[in-house]
Amino acid sequence: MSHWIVDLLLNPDTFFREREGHEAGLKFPLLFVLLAGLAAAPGAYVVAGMTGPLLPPEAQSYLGIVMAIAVVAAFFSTIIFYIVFVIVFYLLSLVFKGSGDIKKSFEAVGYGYLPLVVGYLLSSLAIIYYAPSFVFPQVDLTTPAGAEALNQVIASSPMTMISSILGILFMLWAANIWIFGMRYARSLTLRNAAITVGVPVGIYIIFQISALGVL
Amino acid sequence: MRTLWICFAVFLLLLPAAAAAVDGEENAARVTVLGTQTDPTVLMPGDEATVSVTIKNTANQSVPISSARLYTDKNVAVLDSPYQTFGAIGPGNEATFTFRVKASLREGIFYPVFVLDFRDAGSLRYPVPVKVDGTEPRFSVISRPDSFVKDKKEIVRVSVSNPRPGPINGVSVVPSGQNLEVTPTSAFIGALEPDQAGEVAFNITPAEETDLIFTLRYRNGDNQRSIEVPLPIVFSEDKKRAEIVVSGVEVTTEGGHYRASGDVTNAGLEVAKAVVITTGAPAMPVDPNRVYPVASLDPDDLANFDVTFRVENATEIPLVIEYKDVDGNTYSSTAMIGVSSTLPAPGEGETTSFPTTAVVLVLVVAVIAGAVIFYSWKKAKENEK
Repeated sequence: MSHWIVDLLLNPDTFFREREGHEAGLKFPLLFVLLAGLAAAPGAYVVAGMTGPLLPPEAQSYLGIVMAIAVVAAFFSTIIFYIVFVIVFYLLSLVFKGSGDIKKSFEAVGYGYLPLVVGYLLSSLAIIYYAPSFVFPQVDLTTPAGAEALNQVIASSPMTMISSILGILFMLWAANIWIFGMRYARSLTLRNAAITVGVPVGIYIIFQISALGVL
Repeated sequence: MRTLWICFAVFLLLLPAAAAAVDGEENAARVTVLGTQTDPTVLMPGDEATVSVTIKNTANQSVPISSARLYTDKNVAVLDSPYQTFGAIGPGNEATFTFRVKASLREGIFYPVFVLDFRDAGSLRYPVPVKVDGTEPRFSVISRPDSFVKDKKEIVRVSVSNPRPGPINGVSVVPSGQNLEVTPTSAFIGALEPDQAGEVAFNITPAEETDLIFTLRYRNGDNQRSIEVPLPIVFSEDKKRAEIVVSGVEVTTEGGHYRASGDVTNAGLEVAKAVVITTGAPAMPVDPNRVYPVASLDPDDLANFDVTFRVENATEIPLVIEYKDVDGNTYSSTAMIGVSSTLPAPGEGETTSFPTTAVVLVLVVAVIAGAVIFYSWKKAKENEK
């Protein structure tokens, strides 16, 4: 068991090469995606709880519901992103005349979620660790200036920065696995597979960095 | 013999006259004084008054009267004598003689003498009691504010009482003074019987420290008199006035300006109306909350405030609180708030400083991820061969 996981993480080319002729197996890929969603949930739960003081007094009783919605949203957004990534990679591979069952693409991208399980888990831990030291500014969220100020404070906080940087690093690791996975799932050259995966992931990372206010 | 006849003739001549004289004396003796009256009943020193003496003829015949006089006593001067001649008073009739008198400056009961001269008899003498009492009405301030404040309306209640043995009339109080508004301009109490009191209230709005003069005007009979009572108006701090206290101030930055929020509490004993909060120089109020209206604050009431402003190179700025009292007088107070504890503007890097453990974690992850990617590509290249 550990052997194929080690291969998946350290030598994905060999891992996917060995599975190229086999039927797509989605058991582990989907398990990794679900684990990634579960790993992202605690962070979302804590962040939602922190926003309690910002809610108007009449909405304080709904804080529990808000936190539950945040957990569910974090879990399902992970699954949705998984599906979106697969579809985008699949469509981009068509440009390079890629061929292969879409199930193989689902399998390849799902396996790539293993580093993201660790990444989301570390991000959640970082949020849980630094949340108590985070101070929300006393701003009126109904005004554009107030909302902008809140965004700036959140984006520039160590909690958000650490969480985002860890997310980007593990996303790069996952993208590395996806490149080799899509190479064999869609019969692409290594260069074309890198473009197929690199462009959307690059855009995603640029978006993440810009959200931090760096760009 | 002839001498005897002469004497007898003279006796016959004098007999009717003697008989008439005896009748006049008897009738005059039946004229009595029914009573006397002074108006006012009790004079004050220097007062003028009227003294009335009522007589009655209880005889069956009319009694001729030459004159009726009231003689000046050393403390009661008679000002006129209108009854130098008088006819007769019929049987059973009454007559009243009225004289004007003036009291001296001494107090006591004096007895100017009333003299009624009869034509056919002697005279009737009757001392008339005239009471002179210098006791004046009492004027007292029964309620006034603990302290007067410039341009603040205050209520002053005054009382006028009559400790005199006689009534006083036309009692009124007229307040006056420089640079102050008084309503009503005067108050009429009317007549005050002995041991009675009247009360009036005035709204006083002083513009400066001055003496408020209450003039008590009254009449004792026809004598107009007045008393002036000063009430010094000295400004001092109103112990009951509203006092706005600022607490729980939090200053944050947002969108290029500062936002100060906190609580204001009325720690005074009177209501503070139209409370408005803003910032003073060197701070410059900016939108959205240049000025924050809090409305009315009852004593011990608390309200939130939220003001926005810009300021440069300052660690403290004044928070200006303006409010009005129930009379519309405006008050202003200032509380200094610090802006050094504010969150830095994005880019200043105060809160973006990374904890060491986080930096180490990120570096470790970056190194591992980098190494893994490098290793996997190296393996891929080997696999190609």
